[in-house]
Amino acid sequence: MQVILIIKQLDKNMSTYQEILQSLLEVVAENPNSNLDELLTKKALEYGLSEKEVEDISSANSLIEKFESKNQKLVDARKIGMTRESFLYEEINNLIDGKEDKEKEIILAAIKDASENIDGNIE
Amino acid sequence: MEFNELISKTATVIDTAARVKEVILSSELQEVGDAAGKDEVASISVNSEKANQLLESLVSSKSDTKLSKIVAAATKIADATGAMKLAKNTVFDIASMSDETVTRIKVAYQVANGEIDIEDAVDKLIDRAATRLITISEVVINKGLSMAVNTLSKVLVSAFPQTAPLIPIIKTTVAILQPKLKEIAQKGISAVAKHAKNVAHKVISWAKNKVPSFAKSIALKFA
Repeated sequence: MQVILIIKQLDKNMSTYQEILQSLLEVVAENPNSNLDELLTKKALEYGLSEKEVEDISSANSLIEKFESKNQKLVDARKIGMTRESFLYEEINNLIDGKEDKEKEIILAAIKDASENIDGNIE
Repeated sequence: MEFNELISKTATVIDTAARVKEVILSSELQEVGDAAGKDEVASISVNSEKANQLLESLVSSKSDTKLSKIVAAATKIADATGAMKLAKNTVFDIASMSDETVTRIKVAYQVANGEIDIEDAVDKLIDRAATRLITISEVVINKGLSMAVNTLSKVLVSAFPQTAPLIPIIKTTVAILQPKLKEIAQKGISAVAKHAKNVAHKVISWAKNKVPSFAKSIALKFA
């Protein structure tokens, strides 16, 4: 119910968000040989975003590539019979490898805490 | 407790959280999806033929990140200009929301086209959330760890995007697809949502056995 209420509040702005998304798609479609990041940066600046805000777009896009790469690693692991859980075990092990015990504890506790608090992230 | 045991428990917690989140999100998408077809926003599609062709190729592509990047840029611009203010708008939040949006649409497309079955589809979405958490952990930790557990946890939880802003973003992205493609995406999203909702109790039982500390609050949502 809360989600529906928020959507109703957002609906008045939806066309604007939609227009932004459409304009980005159109500029990318019209310039198939151009660098995507450069096109998005140019459009963001046209919308009046600051240099810092434009940097955030580049950082988000760099992270999206990392998501894809990590997901592909899991897809490949599944092909050789690994489960999701065993893949996660290896990844976490790599994550804390070489760290001092105190740091390991912080990392593991934070991951566990974040996972257990998805409910608080639902709204 | 040995670190090996702690790591094992942490892996289980992530797996469980990703399963539970998928059920919750799909449940919300189903409720909103039922009304989406009647929404005027859903009847507006991109006018440019070239943009439509681009969209179709991006939605049908399995691993291309271009559409996620475009959605991320649109989300950031919308937030910065006030078109759609987000309660959580860090780089991690925006990247995760965009990734989730586009993954969900692509998976829906594959389901509706018979390329993957419904169980594989739900699995793909769970995989994606779990690997996002690992990726964000790597990025944050590689920058140098100088934060307390609760501060780090607040960053990491962005791997599981908040439902409230995510649904309008998914809805709008689907809305701009040309009618035929939109119908396919909506059909797939609806199918995945129904399936995930059907297995909610199975997931809750899994959570109860694996991580009882947070299964109870999740179960209440489906009581």
